[in-house]
Amino acid sequence: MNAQLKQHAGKLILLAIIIHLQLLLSLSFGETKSWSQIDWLDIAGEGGAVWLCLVWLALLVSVRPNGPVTNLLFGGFACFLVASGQDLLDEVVRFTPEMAWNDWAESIPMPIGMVLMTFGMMSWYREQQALNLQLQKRERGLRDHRHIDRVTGLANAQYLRKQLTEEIEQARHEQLSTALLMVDIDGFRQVNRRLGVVDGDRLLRELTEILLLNLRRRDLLCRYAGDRFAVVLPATCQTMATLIAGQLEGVVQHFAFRASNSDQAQFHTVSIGVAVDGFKIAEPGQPPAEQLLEQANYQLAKVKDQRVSVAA
Amino acid sequence: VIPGIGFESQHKFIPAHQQVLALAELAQNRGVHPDKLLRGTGIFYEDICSAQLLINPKQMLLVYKNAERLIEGKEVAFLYGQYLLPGHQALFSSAMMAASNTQDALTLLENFGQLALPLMQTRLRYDDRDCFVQFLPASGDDYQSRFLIETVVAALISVCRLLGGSTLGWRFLFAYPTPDYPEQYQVHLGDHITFDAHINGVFIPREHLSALWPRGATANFDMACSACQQALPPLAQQSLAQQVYQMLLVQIQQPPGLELVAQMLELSPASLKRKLKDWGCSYQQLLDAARRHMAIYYIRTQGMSSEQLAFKLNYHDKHNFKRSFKRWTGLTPAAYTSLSPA
Repeated sequence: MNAQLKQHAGKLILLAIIIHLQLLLSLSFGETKSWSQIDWLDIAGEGGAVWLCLVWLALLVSVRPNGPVTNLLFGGFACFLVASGQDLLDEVVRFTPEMAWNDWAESIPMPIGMVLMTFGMMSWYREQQALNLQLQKRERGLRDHRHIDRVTGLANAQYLRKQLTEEIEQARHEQLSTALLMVDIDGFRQVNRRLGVVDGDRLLRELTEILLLNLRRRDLLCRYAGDRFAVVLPATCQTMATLIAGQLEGVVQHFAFRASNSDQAQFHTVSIGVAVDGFKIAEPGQPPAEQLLEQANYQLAKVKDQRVSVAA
Repeated sequence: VIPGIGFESQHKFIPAHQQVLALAELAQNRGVHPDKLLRGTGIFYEDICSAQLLINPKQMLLVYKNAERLIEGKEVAFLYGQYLLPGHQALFSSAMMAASNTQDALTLLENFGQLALPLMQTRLRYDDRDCFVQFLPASGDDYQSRFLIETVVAALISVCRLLGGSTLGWRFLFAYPTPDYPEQYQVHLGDHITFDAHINGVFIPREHLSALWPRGATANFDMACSACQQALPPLAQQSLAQQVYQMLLVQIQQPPGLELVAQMLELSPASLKRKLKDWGCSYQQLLDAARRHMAIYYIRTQGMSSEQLAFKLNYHDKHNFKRSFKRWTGLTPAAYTSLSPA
């Protein structure tokens, strides 16, 4: 949180200085009203506006990284704050008509703020488009922050179920087949035991990146649970799915992971279960997404089983 | 005569550093400050680090509750479980590391499990096909102890894999309904998982029990076991709820009444009631649990009919038994059998 605030320190200090100047000027040149002259309804209304501006600013600086979009939005909100602040001061301080700067302070920042906000929103739009391109393989169209896994930043199993259900329904309508891969890291428990959870989590994150790089644009990668990832491959046949699974196994195998306390490269393998939604698995009653998940997990267990018996 | 009475939820006997430190570390990795994890317990993180602090079950369970609430992602219990076995109690873990097979590990757990998993009792039962490992939480409540159960099954499966055992054919039963994260169970425990089973435990195929582990050392194992025997304080063996459960279980045909149980424990009935209430349970609940567990075990292993079970549990007739079964599980024995495969 502190680091987050620190990157906006310049802007915040500047705003604080402006607000203080505004207060000082108003209080020293204006004439303070007596209690009876104050209209409390106006205070409540205009105070509310000031308060909301502050909330917007706080939200902005607590989530946004520094950058042009943030600066524009910040400038916009700051102008609103100055304008509504002057409006509020007006209620407790009387200004003589010759002090025109009071009116200026009330009316000039507002349109400036509007313009800044408009530019801010426009560049936010462009920024979001760039981000969407990056996020595509992670979320495929639907965004729901409640379903994001903290460790890898991928969507979780609940989101997977939702997406898979929609995907299959649409694909069946268009007579396309949907494939699902279950990717499980071999011996991940030992990684956690040997290196600790910090490195275990880092391995998951780095593998996430590797897998994302090696998927197609329309594919979706989720974290199923623990060390198991799920990949939805829309409009993909069994042959293609097996091919992709092989490619993923290959890239993971060659990924050199380095624990935080050593430069020694460690290599890991994954087992992958492949299932394709087709006419083969059509048990009535059970939702197709569940059947596909079950099938992929079953195939994965089979692959793992074979590995164990080969090793023994 | 039973020597002494089981521990209460206020007894301080759990070494905090052995149990809580790993969880605090996990929490911190997931962005939850240890102080938050310990909120409400009156424990300070620094005291835990001193490795001297003993805490009581109530504090321990509160830490679990905090962990469940604060740490995002539902895998915490499963990850934490991996730290619990072979564990940090020197004698117990050296015995565990010297176990020659799954059977050794299970026997160790049944007899001295409290040294590593203080709030869970392990009970073994054998039939022709399997060994059933039943888990009974210190509170005696199967349904409200999800986090604890998750940690213990994760601990067991993780230590068996670490030491070279296979866990492929294990079939898990959980008393509570399917949680909203069944995939965690699937990935961490395997594909054979039944919820709503009204008992917590795992069936392990008998052929797995004696398969030799590469690191086993029988002499070391025996030595460490007898050291455990001396190390285990007599009071820390089981909670009062677990103790009463056991007294009822061994005489399930003619279970002693509340007064008699109190007498055997050298307590007044009122203070027995109060002490059980402190664990959140009652005599009747424990009796129900003992009968329910017996019935379910025989249904699952021997496919017993209601008549046979009514006889086994000393019910007047099968209708009475069926009524009781329905009260325990919400299902008739037949519906229970058809819903969840053995």
